[in-house]
Amino acid sequence: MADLGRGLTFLAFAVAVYGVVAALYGGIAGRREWVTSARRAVYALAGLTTAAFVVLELAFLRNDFSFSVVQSHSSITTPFFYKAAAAWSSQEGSLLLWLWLLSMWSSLVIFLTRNRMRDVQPYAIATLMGFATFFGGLLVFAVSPFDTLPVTPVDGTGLNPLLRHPSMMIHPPMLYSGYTLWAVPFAFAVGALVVRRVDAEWISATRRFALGAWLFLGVGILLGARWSYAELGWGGYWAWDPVENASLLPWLTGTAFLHSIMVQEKRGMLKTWNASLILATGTLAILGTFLVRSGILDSIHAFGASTLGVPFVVLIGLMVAGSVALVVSRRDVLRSEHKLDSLLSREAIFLGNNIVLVGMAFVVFWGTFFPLISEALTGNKQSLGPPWYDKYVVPLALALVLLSGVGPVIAWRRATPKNARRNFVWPLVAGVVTAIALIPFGVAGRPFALIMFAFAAFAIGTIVQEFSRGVRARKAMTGEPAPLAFLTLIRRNRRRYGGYTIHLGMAVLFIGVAASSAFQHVHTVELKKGQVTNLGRGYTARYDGPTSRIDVTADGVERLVFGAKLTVFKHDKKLTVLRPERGYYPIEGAPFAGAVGRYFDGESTSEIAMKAGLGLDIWSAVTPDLDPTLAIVKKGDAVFRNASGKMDQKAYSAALGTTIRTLTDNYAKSAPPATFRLIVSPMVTWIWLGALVVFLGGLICIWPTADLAHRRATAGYAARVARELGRA
Amino acid sequence: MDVIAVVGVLAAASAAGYVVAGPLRGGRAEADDAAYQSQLEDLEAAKEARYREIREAEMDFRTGKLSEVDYKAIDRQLRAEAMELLRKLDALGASGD
Repeated sequence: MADLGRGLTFLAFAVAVYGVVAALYGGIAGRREWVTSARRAVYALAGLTTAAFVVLELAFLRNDFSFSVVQSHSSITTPFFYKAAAAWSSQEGSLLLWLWLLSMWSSLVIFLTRNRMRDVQPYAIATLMGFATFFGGLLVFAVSPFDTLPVTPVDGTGLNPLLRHPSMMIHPPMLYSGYTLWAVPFAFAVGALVVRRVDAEWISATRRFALGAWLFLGVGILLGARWSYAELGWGGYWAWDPVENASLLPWLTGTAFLHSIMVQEKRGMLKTWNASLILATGTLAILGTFLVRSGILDSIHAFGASTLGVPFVVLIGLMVAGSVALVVSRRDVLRSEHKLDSLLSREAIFLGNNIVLVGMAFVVFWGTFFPLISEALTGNKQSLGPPWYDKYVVPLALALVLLSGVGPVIAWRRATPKNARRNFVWPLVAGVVTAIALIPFGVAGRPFALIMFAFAAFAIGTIVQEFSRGVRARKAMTGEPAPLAFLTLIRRNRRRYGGYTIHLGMAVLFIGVAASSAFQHVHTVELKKGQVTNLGRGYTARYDGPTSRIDVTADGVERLVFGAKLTVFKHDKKLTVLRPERGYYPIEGAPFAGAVGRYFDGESTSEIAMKAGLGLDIWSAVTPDLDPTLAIVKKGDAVFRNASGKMDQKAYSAALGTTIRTLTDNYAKSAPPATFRLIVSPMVTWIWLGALVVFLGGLICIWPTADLAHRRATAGYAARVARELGRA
Repeated sequence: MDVIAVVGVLAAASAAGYVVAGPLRGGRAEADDAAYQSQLEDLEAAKEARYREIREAEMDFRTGKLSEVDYKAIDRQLRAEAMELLRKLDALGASGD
């Protein structure tokens, strides 16, 4: 099977190279049949990479430990659910996933635009297949997921326990879908620039792909945040980690792009800016992929040091140099068709929003690469922590939320001060009332949080007002009842109201971020059985005692679990019982480990327990004191070392099982102290709810509408304009 | 290399080769009138953009973001631009219903 995978990967690489050559030759020589052949090469690439990916997945699901990657990232006891996802937990498998997703998205866009932009297509195909050539080349010549071991081991080392979380099943495919989807508008921008067709056509052809990229990347980032909050045992959802930042960078510039293309579509302005933004976003998507696998920056999410750095640097260098050359050489056709009519216009607000988003991206970029910059300049690698990011990102986030409220109530081209005043009254009242109402609750002590709440209330106010006025207008026009008018309003204006829904979700999300970071109580404490600790805000927690158990699968012990039972009280009234745990996974394939010790020497993960609510989350993690247990484990190792060979295998296994069971039971009976990390964090749930609203808005925007591009008409132009508008 | 792998890779290579070489087997395809096509697509895209703008302006007016005077001026201008684009499309021979 490994040979089959290797052969398919090589074929995919060859097809990608052919696609680049055929598309370029067809484009330059004007030979349509070569372009069609290149287009078919994209479909063939999708078929080949799908087959290769299936071979890899089957290897994982069948426990085929002759595959090096299966041996190092899975084991017999790894649950089926996680075996399927283990393919992309490895460097090699994730590269194959990248190539597969790229080929699928490329096929979709090439199919959907097969009758459009025929002059742009050859260069767009060549660019997409260029990316495929790069990743296919890495898989063939640098890191193959189909490498085999000289001797097939009985078992693998297992999947990193930290990755055994449901969100980790879909987090990487979401992120990679985002990264690979950004390649689509990037490729079409390159094609449009090459043939000097920089009107809005390439934007309209790829807008949904850009939205899809934004949506997938956003979902990926949020799933990562959720994983961090629920799995990593530190209680936060964002740590400004380089790999987290790497995914945020293209999302920020992509968000700017999705706003500014509206200005180009409507007014023929910002062409240079849009071309530059999407070229930067595509490059940042590759940079994100590079950071995860280069080993140049330290991150919990990275694959560690590898030899892939140089090829990625070359690719990124080519992308930057090529982008700059294309934009500079096409500056004559990139001139704006109109000028900004007024600073009080939606295009001016979009420009402001773009400056803020790109400013944020610059801050994140600088902070992420500062260790490398400082090392180059001073010889010392210095990192910038969350306080540095907060100093710059918080004011920019405030400006962003404010602008997200202002934008929807300002008209395109020009808004009169009188209309603007009328539109701002109620949202302003909402913002001011919110701020005043929160002061008695001690929010004034956190001015940034107070301002964020006020700005978010203002933004929510403008959006509610927009929906309400839209429904009223629709009711007046059609006589529809309010619920129907609401739905029709959204259906007929998906971009506008989908966008407003996204703004609403972002405002809710930022409220959650501001509240949870400004008013969080973190408490790390060692407790003996029966001891009570104060959590703040009127909450207390009592350590009722330790817990322990053995998790087994059909193939053996999956992990030993040591935990604690905590009863939480609010003003002395019982609120809930929390059971945080820590799981210890047996070390696989390590002959030096003792018979008993191997169950304690492997990876361990924190299984947090929390009570989540709209108002606040009570979050807990435990680190059990296993020192007394480990002393017995050492003795057990010595006993079993002596018994080895003197007992038959069945008796040996039974004795080992009894020992492990006794150890775990004794831990619970002996009631040792345990160290707890306890957090009372307000409104974290708002982050996840806000994100859901954002994604709902994204889906509304992305949902296909009837194709209006090729309407036919003859004469009676004014009547036709009216008729066609009525039909839409 | 095992037999299944050899057969699988050869089958995949043959299928990919057949699919990719298909357009080349029919000889040289008729060349696109690329300039005509791109002009047509540009005009269609511009027309759709104007239609979108007209609808947006109407929505802005109905939701109180534009005064009636401003709305009428913008609507008039956008409709004139849309009509001009339709004339150009007709002249290009792309329309007719």
